[in-house]
Amino acid sequence: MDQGSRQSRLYLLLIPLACSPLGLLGFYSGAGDWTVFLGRFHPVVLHMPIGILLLTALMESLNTVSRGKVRLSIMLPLLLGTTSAVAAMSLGVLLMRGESMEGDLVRAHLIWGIATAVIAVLALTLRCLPNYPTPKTWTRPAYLVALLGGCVVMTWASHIGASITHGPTYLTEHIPWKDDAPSEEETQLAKALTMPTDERLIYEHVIVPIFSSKCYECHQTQRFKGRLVMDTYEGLIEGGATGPSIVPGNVAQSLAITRVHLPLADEEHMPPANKPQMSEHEIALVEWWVKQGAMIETRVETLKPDDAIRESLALVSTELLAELEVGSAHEDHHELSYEEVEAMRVPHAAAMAELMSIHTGEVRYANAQSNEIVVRAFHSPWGDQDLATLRPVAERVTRILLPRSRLSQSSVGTFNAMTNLEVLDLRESDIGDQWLAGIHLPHLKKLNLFGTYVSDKSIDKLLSFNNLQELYLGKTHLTDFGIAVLRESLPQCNVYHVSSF
Amino acid sequence: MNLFQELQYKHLQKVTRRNFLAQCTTGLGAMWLGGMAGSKAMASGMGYDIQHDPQNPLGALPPRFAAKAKNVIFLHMVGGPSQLELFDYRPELAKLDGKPCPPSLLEGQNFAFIQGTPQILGPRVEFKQHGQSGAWVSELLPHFSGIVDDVCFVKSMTTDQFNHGPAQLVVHTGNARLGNASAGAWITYGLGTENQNLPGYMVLLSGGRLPRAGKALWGGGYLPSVYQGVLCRSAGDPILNVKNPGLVHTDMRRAALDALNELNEEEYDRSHDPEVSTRIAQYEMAFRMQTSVPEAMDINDEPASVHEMYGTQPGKASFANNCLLARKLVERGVRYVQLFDWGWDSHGTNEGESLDIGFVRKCKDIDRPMTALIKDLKQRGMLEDTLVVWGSEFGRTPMKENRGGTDTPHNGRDHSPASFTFWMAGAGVKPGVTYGETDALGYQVADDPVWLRDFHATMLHLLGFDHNRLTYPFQGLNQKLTGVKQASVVNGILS
Repeated sequence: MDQGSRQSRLYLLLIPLACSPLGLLGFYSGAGDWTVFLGRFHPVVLHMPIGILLLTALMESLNTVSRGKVRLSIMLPLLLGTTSAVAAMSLGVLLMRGESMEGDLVRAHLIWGIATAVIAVLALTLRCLPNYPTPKTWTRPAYLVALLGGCVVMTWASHIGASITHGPTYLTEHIPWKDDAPSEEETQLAKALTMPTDERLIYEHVIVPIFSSKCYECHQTQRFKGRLVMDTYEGLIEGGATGPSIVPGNVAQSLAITRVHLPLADEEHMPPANKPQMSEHEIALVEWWVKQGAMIETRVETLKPDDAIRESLALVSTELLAELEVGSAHEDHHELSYEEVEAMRVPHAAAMAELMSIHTGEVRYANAQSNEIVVRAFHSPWGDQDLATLRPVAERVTRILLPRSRLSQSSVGTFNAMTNLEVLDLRESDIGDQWLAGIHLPHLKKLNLFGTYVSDKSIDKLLSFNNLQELYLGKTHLTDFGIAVLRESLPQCNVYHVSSF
Repeated sequence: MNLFQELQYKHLQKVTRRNFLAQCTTGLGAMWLGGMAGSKAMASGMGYDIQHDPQNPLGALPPRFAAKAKNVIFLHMVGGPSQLELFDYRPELAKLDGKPCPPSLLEGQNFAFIQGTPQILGPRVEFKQHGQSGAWVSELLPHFSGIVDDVCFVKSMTTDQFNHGPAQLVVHTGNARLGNASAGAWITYGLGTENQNLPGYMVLLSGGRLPRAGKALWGGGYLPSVYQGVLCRSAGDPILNVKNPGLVHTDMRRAALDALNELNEEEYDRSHDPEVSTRIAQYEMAFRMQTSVPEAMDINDEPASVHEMYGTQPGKASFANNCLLARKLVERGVRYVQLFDWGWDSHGTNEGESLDIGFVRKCKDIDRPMTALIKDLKQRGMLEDTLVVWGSEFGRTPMKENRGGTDTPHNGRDHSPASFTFWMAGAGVKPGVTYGETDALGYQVADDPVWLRDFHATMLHLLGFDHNRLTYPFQGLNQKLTGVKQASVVNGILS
């Protein structure tokens, strides 16, 4: 740039400023179709200032640092960057109005976004000031400060904006060195969902998990649409733009219920058609709660739920819990990369490598995405020594299949060290009542004792496995009477046994 | 070109400038495309990196994601049993019995034998609902009727081949032409097998004849030949050419093998050719099979109650024996057991092909053993790991066959690729469910068609693979079992 003879180019300011009335209009307009339509271009346009202004700052830095050796033309990118910054701001205002978005994050984004546009215009103004007849020494430093400062402000504005759309933890949740401990909210929810039904508080432990899964995304104190906050009880009672979400005792007046019942195609239907919908059991629970008076500190037990409600309570808890687990274990069934899997396996990697070389193909990970260890041995029967080799990885072993194994009493200790064991299949092995009496595996879900020597003496022991779902007792010494006792006392467990074997 | 030259050639291909430049164009394009599609899409488009130890090419590998099924037993009724006399109960069909077939049903259809205007043939048997699921099963399967709540019926199977050979190839290799890898080979390639003393993929025959498409049905195609099925005979030597010849003793065999291994190891030290170590491993496996195979294939030591349950007679090549063998093999860790039972081609041209005589006999042959197989697996806790599939290459027409325009001497039906029934049981399959529906006459699929490629996708899913990613490069294409047409996992039958 020839610093010597520059005329005023302030007329260029007209271009960015032409984009601003649109935004001002937004402040006074309602949530009409046009407002929403134009507003939704905000996410399209906003990337232009981010790219162009950062590029401008980079080019200007090169110009300055190189002391005149590099002379990149700045005017066009600066003008484009500023114009798009103002346009993005205006469209953002329209979007906020059009979708009636409110909340702390939204307000912060609004302020920082406006600041970005204002500082960009300021930078452009400083750059366009005429430097004659008397050259001013302060314009260039001031311009540089405005440009670089504008970029910093813009970066922060875009970060807040992204927090609104992707959630505040979007950037940080996959930090590789961070342990994958579930967030506090998730722990709270998981705790609520696993509590015994009767002890739960109706609002905190039943309703909150439902709303949290289906409503909070758009209606939480941090960022909310339709002037409705649903993550506080007061917010529910106060309601949003069209009325109260919850009217205690009055289902017909409670918008949180009536809107769910509207046909999916209806614009007023909630949650929006493209979002996960509430299940019939969830709806039943919310209706039940409102009908009873939408109380807060009441225990489920005192409300005397009937069988249908109890079923809904159980089903909803399982569904939401599964959702929670999927969400925290692998976001959207996200496939772990090779490095992630390796990292997960590090604690037992050395021991596992050795085991895999001793028991080729018999000891391995459950699948390519897992650090759980499974043992399936078909080559030759395992003995106590073979089993003892699993000691170093015992707590990671979840499934064991050792058909026809030759295990003695000394194997009991090794099994008991496998605190996470869920499936134990020892069909046709040399084990009996005495062996079983020593076994203590609280998480066992499937126990296969087909063709072993267990007898009726083991009934009490078998009843002590609380989580058992499948129990195989064919070709054992148990009598038909013993089997009947087991079936009677373990209603949630399938007991497999045919006396003809 | 011998193997060594080929390796050298491949190595040179990797280092030459010309090769680099040639690859550059597509390479850069692929990088751009990958960036465009986003890293996630790219990751899901990449084939699995299946790495077998060359010295142990059948070693067990973990599935790619948590999967229920570990083993497969596939019961193939060769010839196309009539779904209309077994599972697909169509009361409308009985009403139209003997009436000429409406032309609307015949338009645009290809038949193997039907000509002109055939008559509608009503169901030849009575049907009843069974179990809590209320599944309709023909009176010809009294034993099987008792276990319908453990079974998932797919009544809307459909295929595009109306002749036995090509249709069988579609069922097992996904393609009507020869030369592709069979499902069992794909699965053994992907997962290896759990017992290194037995082949990972075993094939058992009954019914007196090979299926029309022959050994190609259990071939390895372009996959390394170690993954192809091994045919076992249920009478005489189970596997041919494994046993020592008359005067050769095990010790002599061992000594000969040791000497051979020494030579092979020297060769390996010199050339580092992985094929040499594979060869050593194969000899060793054959040696182990000399004792393990006869033991696994011997059903004499099973208790009488088991023989009673299956209806087995040791020493005979029967479907019943094969069902019991299938259980024994899976029990020993064999990955994929394929049964073929020949004799279901009920055209009505002779007694054996008559729906009223031969077909009834065949039903009697399979009813008890296949029921016993499911019950036995269930009692032993093996059904949770094992996927059992019953099916055929196609079904049969609701029209009576009129070969050459004249009536056949017996009641029979022609091949019908339009719809047929599969049933599945075990690992990961929803029990007591009927999926899909045919039209009122049991001819075309009315709802939820399932192509064989969808079935393959589902089977691979149950074993822990995305069918689009279990691939093998051959002839410039990443080959896969489900082929190039869109295939989808049948989610409706997954538990």
